[in-house]
Amino acid sequence: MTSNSPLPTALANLRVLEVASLIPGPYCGKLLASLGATVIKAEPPNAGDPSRRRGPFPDDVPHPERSGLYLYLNTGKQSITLNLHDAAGRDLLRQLVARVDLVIHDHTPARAAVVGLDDDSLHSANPNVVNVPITPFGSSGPYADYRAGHLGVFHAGGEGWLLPNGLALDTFPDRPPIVAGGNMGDYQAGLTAAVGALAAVYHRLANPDSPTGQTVDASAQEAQLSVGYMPIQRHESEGITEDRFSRYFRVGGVLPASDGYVELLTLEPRQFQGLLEFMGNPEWATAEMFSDPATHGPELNRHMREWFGQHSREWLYAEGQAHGVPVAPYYTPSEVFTSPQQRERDFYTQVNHPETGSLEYTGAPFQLSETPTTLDRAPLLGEHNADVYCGLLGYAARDLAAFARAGAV
Amino acid sequence: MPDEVQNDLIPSSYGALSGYRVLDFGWVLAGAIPGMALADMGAEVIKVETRQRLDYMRMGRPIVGDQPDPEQNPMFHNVNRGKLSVTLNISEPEAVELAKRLVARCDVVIENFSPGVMDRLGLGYETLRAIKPDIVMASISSTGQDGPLRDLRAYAPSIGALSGLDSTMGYEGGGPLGLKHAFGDICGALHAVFAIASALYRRNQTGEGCYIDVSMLRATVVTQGIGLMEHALTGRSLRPRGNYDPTMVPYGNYPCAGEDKWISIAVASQEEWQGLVAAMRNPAWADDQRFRSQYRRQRHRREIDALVSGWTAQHDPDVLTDLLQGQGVAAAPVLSAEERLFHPHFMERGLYNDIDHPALGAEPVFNLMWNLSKTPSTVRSHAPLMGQHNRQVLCGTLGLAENELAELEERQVVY
Repeated sequence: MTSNSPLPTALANLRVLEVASLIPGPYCGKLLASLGATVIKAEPPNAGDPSRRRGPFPDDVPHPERSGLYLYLNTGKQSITLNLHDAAGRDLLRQLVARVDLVIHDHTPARAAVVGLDDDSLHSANPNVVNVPITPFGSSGPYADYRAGHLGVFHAGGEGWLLPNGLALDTFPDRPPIVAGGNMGDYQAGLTAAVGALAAVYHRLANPDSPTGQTVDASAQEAQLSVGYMPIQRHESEGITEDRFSRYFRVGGVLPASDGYVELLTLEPRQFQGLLEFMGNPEWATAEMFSDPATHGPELNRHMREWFGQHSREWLYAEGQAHGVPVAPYYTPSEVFTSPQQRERDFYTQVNHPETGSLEYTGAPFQLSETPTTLDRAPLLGEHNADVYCGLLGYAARDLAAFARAGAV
Repeated sequence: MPDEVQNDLIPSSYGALSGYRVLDFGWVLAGAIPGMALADMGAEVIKVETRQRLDYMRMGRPIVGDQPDPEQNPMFHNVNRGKLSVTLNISEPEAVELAKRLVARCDVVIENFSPGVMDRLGLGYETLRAIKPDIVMASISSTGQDGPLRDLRAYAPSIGALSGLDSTMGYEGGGPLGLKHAFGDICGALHAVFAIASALYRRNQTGEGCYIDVSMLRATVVTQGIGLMEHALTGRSLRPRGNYDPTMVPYGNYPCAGEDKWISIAVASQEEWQGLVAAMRNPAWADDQRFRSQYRRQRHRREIDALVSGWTAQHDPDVLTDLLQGQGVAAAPVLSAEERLFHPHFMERGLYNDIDHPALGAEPVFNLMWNLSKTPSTVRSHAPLMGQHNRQVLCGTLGLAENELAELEERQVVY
C-alpha cells in the first residue's frame, strides 16, 4: 500500500553542515542524508571537493560534475561554495554553524584552528552544535596532525599486516603487505562518526535546557583497526601472533573455478559431510580429514583445487549451497551490479543527474519499516547557494552576488 | 520514559544513551557488536543466551586449564563487555513468555538469528510491537530478511566474495587473494547501530518505534562505492591492483630495517615530492630529468620505487614516519598486531582498557571507535558470566520471586 503524502523520514528534523572531502566525512553525511537529514555541503569555490577530480568519468573525460567518487558519496546533499581562507567566508561559516545541529569536517586540530572549525570557534557560534571531526589519526595524540590517505590508514590500522594471505603464501612470499580494494577504512571512519554524532544529538534531545554541544572525535585509523581487532586479542590473550604468513584458511579459502574463483569455508561437521557428497564422495577425502585441517589441509586443498577447477563458479555456488556448503563466487564489482540473484528487493535505484543522465546507484544497507530511506542525486557545485545563503541565512540576492565577487563564496 | 535502571555496573548517567534498556538476542560477532556499542554509550543491555545452544563466541580453545569453558574466549569478552547476561532457553515456551515480559520493559531489541527464527519463536516484530508499541527492533542477517539470497549459507568470507570486495584484493594483474576477516560482520553491525540511533531519534520526536532490517552483504557492497561507479560510468570492472594508485608516485609500502618492517608512503603533489626529497637529504638522483614532473614520475614509477626502497630499508618505520610527516608527506608505519596494542599514539589516546575478567584476569578491551567529549563512552564492566544477572533481571526488573526463579532454573527454562 502506498500513500500519496510522503512519510516523514527518520532524521527529517536534523540539519547538518559538512565541510569535508573525499570519502570519510562525505560518507558520514551521505548516511545522515539517506535517512532524511538536511545536509549542506560547503565546498571550496571553483574547485569544489577534490573528489570531483578523482573520477571515474564517463568516457574517461574529466569533468567536475561527472566524477563517480563525488556522485556516489554526495547523494541527497545540498552544495554551497564557501571560502574558509577568507574572513567574510569564515563569518558566513559562523552564521551557518548557528543554524545547524551537526558540523562534520575532516580538519586536523591545527588546520581546524586556522579556518574556524575548532571546538572553541564552533561552540562560541553555537553552544549546542555537535562538532564531528573525522581525521586520519583522531584529534589527539602524537599523530593528530599527521596526514594520511587510505593507504596509510589501512596499514597503520594493522590490516595490511595480515594481507594478502591464503593463496598468496604459495605465490608471493616476498611481496609487501597490500591494501584491500574499496577504501574500507575510509568508509568505516564515516560510519563510526555518524553513530557517534547521533549519540551526541541524542544527548542533546534528552537535555534540552543546558548547552549540550560536544565533540565526536573519529579516527580513520581506529575505525580500520576495529575491523581486525581479533588478531590483537589473540596475540595478547592467547600468545598467538597472526601475520600474513600464518593467517590463512587451512582448508578451502580461495579455490579456482573453470571461469574464475570461489570462496569456501567449512567449519561444522554437517558441512564436511555436505561437502563430501557435493564432490561425489571422492576417495581422497573423509570427514575425519576435514576435522583435522592442520594435518590434512594441504592434501585436501590440492585435490579440491583440481576438482573445483573443473566446474563453473555458478554451478559450484548453486550445487554447493544445495548441499549445505558455504561456497560463494568471487564477484567483481561489476558482477555485483549485474548478477540476477543480487538484483533483489529494490536495492539498486536509477538516479537521474543533469550531467550524467540516469545511473544505477546502491540504496542503503538498512531498511526502516515506518520511514523510507532516500536517494537523491548529488548536487552541482554551488547549486544551493541561493537556497542556503538567501533562504536559510536571509541574505538578499545582491548580497550573495557581492560575496561571490569578494571571493567568499 | 525508560525505567530507572538498577544494576551493579559503573553508573551510566553520563552516557549519551543512559536510561535506555536493550534486549540483546545478538550472538557471535555481528549480533554482539551493536549491543556492545549501546552499552558503552550508557544503555542497559541484557544479553539473552542459553546453555542449550551456546553463543559460538563463547566456544574456543581453553586458555587456562585444558577443559572447554564458555567463560574463556577473549573475543567474547571484548564484544560483550558491559552487558548483563540472562540465560533463557527460548526453545521453551515459558522462556519465550519471560522474554516477552522483558520486551515490555525495553526500548530496543537486537537479533541476528537466521531470517524467520524470531517469528517461529513467537518473538517477531508484530508480536513485540503489540507488547511494546514504541519498540525499536533491529535484525541483522547476511543478506536481509527476504529475497532470493535469504537462506544463503554464508560466513564472513562468503560476504566478502559476493560483495565484490575480495575480488579487488590482490597484487596488480593477479587473481583475487581474499581477506580472511569478518569485515561484513563489523560493517553490517555498525550500520545497524547507526540505524538504531536514527530510529531512537525519530522515536524521541514522534513516539513511534520501528523495525530495522540490516543486510551485511548490502553494507559491504555500499562501502565499495568506487567499484560500483567504475562499472556504472565506464563499464569497466575494478581488478586487484595491490598498493598501486594511478595518480600517486611513489605510492605503496616500502621495506624498512628489521624483519618484515614496512612504511606506507603516498605522494600526490609536487610539494609532497619535494618534502620527500628533502627528507632523503636531497640525493643526486632526485634531480634527474626523468623525475622532474608528476607525469614523468608516473612513467618511471618502478625506478622511483627501487630508489625509495633503497633509502627506507636503512631506517626504522616510526622514525621515518615522523621525519616524512615533518616534511608534509603522508607516511605511516605498517603496524603488526603487537604494535597496534602498544603504539605510543594509541597509548596516548587511551584506545585500550585493561579490564579484569574473573576467568582470565586483566585483558585489553578495545574502546569504541568514536569518542564523545561530554558523554564519553565507557566500558562499564567485564563481559558477563553466563546467567550472572538472572536474579537481578528476572527478580529485580521482572519481579519474579526467588523461589520462582529457582524452580525455573531447575526445569531448565532459565538455563
